[in-house]
Amino acid sequence: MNESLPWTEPTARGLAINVDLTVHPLPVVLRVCHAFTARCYVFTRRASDESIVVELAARDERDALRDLAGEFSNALIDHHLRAIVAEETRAIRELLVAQAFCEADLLDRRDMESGEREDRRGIAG
Amino acid sequence: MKLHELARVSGVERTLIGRVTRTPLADARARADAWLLVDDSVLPCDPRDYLGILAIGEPPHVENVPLAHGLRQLAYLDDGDVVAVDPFGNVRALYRRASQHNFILVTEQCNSLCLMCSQPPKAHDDSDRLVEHFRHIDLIDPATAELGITGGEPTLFRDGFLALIARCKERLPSTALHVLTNGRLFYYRRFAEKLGAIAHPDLVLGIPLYSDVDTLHDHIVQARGAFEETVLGLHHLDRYGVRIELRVVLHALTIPRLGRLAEFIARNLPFAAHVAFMGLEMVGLVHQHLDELWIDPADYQRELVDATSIIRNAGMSASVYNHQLCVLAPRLRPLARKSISDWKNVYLPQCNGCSTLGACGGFFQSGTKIRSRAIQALA
Amino acid sequence: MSGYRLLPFRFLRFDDARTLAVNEAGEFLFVAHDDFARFVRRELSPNTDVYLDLKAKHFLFDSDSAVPFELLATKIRTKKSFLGGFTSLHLFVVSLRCEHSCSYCQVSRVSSDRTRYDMSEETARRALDLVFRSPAPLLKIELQGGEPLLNFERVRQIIVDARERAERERRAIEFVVTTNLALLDDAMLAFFREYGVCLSTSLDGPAALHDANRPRPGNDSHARTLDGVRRAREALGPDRVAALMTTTRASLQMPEEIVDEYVRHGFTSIFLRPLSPYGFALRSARANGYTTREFLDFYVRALDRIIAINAAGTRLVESYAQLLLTRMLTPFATGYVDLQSPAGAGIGAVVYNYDGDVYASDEARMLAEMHDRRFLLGNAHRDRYETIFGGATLRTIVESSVAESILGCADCAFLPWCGADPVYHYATTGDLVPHVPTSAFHEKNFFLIRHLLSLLERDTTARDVFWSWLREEAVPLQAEVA
Repeated sequence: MNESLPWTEPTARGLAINVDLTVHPLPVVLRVCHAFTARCYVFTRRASDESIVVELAARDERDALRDLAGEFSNALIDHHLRAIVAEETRAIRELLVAQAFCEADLLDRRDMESGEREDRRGIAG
Repeated sequence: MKLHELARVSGVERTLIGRVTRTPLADARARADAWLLVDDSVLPCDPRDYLGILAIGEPPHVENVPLAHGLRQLAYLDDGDVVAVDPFGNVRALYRRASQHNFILVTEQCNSLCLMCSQPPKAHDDSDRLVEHFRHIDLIDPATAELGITGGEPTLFRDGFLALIARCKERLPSTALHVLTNGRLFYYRRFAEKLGAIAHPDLVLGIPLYSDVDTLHDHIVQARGAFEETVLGLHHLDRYGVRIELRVVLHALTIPRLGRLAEFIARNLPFAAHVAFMGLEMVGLVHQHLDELWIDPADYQRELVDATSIIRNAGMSASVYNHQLCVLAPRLRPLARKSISDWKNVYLPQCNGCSTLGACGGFFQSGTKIRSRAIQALA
Repeated sequence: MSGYRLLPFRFLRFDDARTLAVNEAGEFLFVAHDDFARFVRRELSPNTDVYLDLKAKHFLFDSDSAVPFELLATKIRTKKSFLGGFTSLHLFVVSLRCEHSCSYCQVSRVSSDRTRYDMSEETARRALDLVFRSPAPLLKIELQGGEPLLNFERVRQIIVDARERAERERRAIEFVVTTNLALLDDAMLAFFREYGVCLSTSLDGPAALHDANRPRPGNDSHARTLDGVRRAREALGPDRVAALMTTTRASLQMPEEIVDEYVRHGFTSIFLRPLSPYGFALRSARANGYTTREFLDFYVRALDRIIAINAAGTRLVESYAQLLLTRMLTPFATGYVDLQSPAGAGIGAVVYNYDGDVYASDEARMLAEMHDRRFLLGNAHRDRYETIFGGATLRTIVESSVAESILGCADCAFLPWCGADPVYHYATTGDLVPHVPTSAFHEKNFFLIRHLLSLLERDTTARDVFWSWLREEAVPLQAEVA
């Protein structure tokens, strides 16, 4: 079954995928490995400072490792993107959650809290 | 039906607002507030301590009593109606006891300039009207079921607006108040808080929302920042228990995102009790923007079905106003409300023989020229 | 500002064409893969519909308007509002005894030893003292067993006392009695009627299946249940009696027959529940058990039948789908304690066992009957409210059930609609925190949410039925006007 994909390499246990850590950071790679633990055995081995080898081994004969390796590579991109979005929006997310559970004004409400007579926004025209 | 007529006047030195009476009044204080309405110059009683005499046609002979005569079109006035007469002879029917559509036009000023505004605002300061409004509220029948508060933008008077609502609560505790406002000033939380604190027992604010996207809403109302002000204002009003009805006018700019707007309302404004989808009134500024706004209602029935379903699925009620029944998809007809008021709706020759004429709102008198190709008599 | 910035969101490659994006408040949008790629690269043109959709649903912002932040904060608060009232649901095990001997039943005993397995008057009083310490604005008291009607005196005492105290303290209170109805008599019905009590019972399906699942002397459980339902509806009103079913191995082949049985007997809701992994259910797993996958196949078939029945104009709500759909399609929170983040165990619901032991959930109690007292919070006779509800056990449950911080949940697009159940995770794996990729809890909820999303997207009949379940009205809008 293990007709090899260009970016994978057959091993004694299954298929090896070499991941460039300058493209996908280690925490992202490990999250993806974790997500795949139900579907195959996952082994990791440091190949160099800048790369890691992830080896997928079938839990039983019927597993299509080839498909899994393809999915793994796509999942790397998705999880990497999730990490980027999470990092980029972390401050906003923390602010929103804090404001949701907080009586005090964490958002800037100076205009809203001024009076309609003062009309700091000039709404009345 | 006309609500205004120019009369010949004598002895009217300032605007005099009073209740109409056709029958002589026993109570002296009531007489002081009453315009005595006379036909055919026949005086039914001594007129001296009445507020004044309103004469249909020729005047009776009186001295030292304010008099307006030569009236023809206001001949329908009856006991309990309220009229204002000014020194120039303008006689305005402010309130008609028999009507379901009474309202107070608080101001003609507005801070928005909606592309399809049916009553374009005027710039001059008319805050002196407030005195008239208080008198108006004091004179109308407390048994009145519903009273509209409209404009212009009635909240522009701010304290004056709050005082009006409070006065209604005091004088007309069983009259439902329906306020038409753009809600923008409730962006200021405390303004909403003050309105909530009045605790009017039966108050609804009808507030327009035209898009789920700020830039589009702002364009339609021609005011930058209006979406933000209105949406946050709606949340403030809800926080203080003020009931809300949302109003969406249907035209070429609102139709493409109508379903998304309904979703936005369901998710962000679920406290709104009611969403009214309004047909375009062919009057006022709309004629200047017809190219941008016109869409045949026959061409947006699918969008309207979807939007009303989203609203109703979210547990809110949805109504459709200002549409002739023949134009509406059959499943929308039960949602149609006959909103065009009794003094401005008409029907067309095509309507002859239509089985739903009695239930249909018909047309605005001014809006029969541009109309849907789907107009037809229903079997 | 020029250009746009991202607001927090989650995503999932939903199918070959589209990415599902879900914001922090659980609103979602399907976006073509290409558009999604452009969106996260900040290359989306502001003139496109997808840009406006993403903006209006609060996935991006492009001005200094406060609207997205104010609305998102409000929506997040609304979604988590179940936390505000603290413990609202209070379950009383008034007797461990039962005259049924159901194969899947967790812990009940067929016994006549009242002193050993029934809740005493004093224990009930102590437990009520704890109930009324709860700050929740609405108190719900659920009386269960075993079979609670075997200790009806306690049922009566608890309801009478609780009602009196609630009136004195001007607090809202509701009562539910979970019973097999076999022992229901007219005096009990009159009492339930007087106190506005709702009844919840079990109906597993047609007679042969039900009676095989739920043996009792005379093997007449099905007949007695339905007779009880009929009498209870007459006495209390049609909407005061609900039923739920437990799926056994024998149920798997007959989803349609089970659903039809509910319709035939006039129920307006059905709760398709898998076997729970506790107590006797775990022990008899070999005879009764099935894989999660098998349960889900069963569920899908049953749901298809339910949708068809609704579309034809008869209301029948599937309670679990209704729960998930409420989370996905509405801005509101749900009170269901087994799927919250943090979990509802202890802070949403609590169980007072017949002997006064207080557990974080009914599952925690069952675990204790299997000699694992990991989730024992205290005892109504010995411990104070502060010790029970402020103690280390409950704190650990809450801390370990914040899905936002669980590996595998934190990244999941479905997180805003899902939750964690540390008692379940512990019972099945020995760890309060799940190993998500292999967790049956994850498998079930992930599959069901995905299935509901697919139906919402491609099946307008199903969509209309689902929405009707979120409304009070009886039929789908499509069925309303021909």
